Amino acid sequence: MRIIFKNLNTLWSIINAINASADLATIIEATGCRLSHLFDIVAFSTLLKEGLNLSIYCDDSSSPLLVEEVARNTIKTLAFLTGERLTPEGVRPHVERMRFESRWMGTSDGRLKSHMSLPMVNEGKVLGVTSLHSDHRDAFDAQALQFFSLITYQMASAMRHSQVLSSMKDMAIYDTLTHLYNRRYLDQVLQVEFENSTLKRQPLSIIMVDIDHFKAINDQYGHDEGDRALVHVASLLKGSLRKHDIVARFGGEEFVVVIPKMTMRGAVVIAERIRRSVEGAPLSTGERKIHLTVSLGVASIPAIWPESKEELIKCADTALYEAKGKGRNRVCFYVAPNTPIENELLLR
Amino acid sequence: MGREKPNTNLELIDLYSSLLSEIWAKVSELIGEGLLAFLIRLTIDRTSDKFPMLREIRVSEAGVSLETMKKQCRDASPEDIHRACQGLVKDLFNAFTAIAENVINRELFSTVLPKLREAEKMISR
Repeated sequence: MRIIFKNLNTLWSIINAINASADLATIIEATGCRLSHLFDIVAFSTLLKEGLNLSIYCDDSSSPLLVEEVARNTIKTLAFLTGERLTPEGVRPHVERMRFESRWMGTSDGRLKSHMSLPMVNEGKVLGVTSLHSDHRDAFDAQALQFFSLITYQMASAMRHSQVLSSMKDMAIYDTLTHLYNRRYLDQVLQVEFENSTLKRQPLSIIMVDIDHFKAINDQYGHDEGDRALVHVASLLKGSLRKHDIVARFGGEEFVVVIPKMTMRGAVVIAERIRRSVEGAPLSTGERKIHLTVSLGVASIPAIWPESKEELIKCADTALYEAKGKGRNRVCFYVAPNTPIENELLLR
Repeated sequence: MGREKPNTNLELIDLYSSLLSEIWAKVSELIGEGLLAFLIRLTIDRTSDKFPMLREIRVSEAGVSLETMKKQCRDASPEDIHRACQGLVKDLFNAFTAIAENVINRELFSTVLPKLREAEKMISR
């Protein structure tokens, strides 16, 4: 009786730990850390399938031979459950090593003699397989299966929540069409960068980008092609920037690039790079090609010292307006009135 | 003769219906209704390539129902029904083996084997 209560308590703590975790690795780790109190095992693993990729999560202390055997067992089960042609010889899963801090796990040098591999299922689709492995024959009984089923069910459920949460987070910060950051996220990040820049007296540049004659594209080719033009320009923008620069869809056919620690000179060079890349990469629609161009306005600290991020954006917008007025497909930058430098770069 | 055939069919389907209900009761206690329903659907999906009448079996998280099959298979031969249901049980055992080696099947042998023998007797009657 005492043993049953002890096991139930352990089971309860595992389920609590799983439910308290929000991301995939933590869910697996939270489970793996406590399993050795319930089962006589040498390995615990979780094999996940994402598209064509397989990842196997297993204990850090497992020998390569043990990992190989574990992967073989679980891939076989996954192949059976999904009906896909996955052979342990033909598939090499990405191995993620985790520290399960177990007392017995990973210590076996002998061959695995038994395993239980339960699928994690969501709406009829197998997300992966989670497994217990032992170096004893017939190591598992009906009660072990009951416990492990409960654990697997909780893991699958927590993973579902984690995926929903992550897609909600994505929806909150990304523009659904272009997959660039959205206006809301831009507001947040620009506020942080603006405060940083003001406080530390370091440069900050923004570039406002607008697709030229976008209305005509919509009118002439239809809204689907208009959307494709937005996606096309978005992808060229991403390709022209450094990893930590931020690019967001500001609204309609307007985009904003935020470049921390970048002075006006550097920002203008980047803006010109963007202009050239759009000009040089027409959008293919069947046999036709739509030639796109963009106008860009640059505003930078310390060329100006705006009082708010909104004022910085307004300055970039003024420069953009000027670029439009001067014939489009060009870069203009904002300088405060009476500043003795040329207020235009005709870099074409 | 014409009257006996549908009766044997109904008896056979009832027998397999009760067998699947017992499997449901025992295995759902071990792995839960959701996973069991998934495995039975998977098995029906695969086995019905060979025995299309199995597509008439309804599976939900509440259990397995052979009522539609009963209505649709009045004119099928008892041998075909037996082969199809036996194939389903065999493939279901394979699915259980894939996830838990012999743990589930050990719990089921005492229930399943007598019922399969009974079905064979029914066919040879």
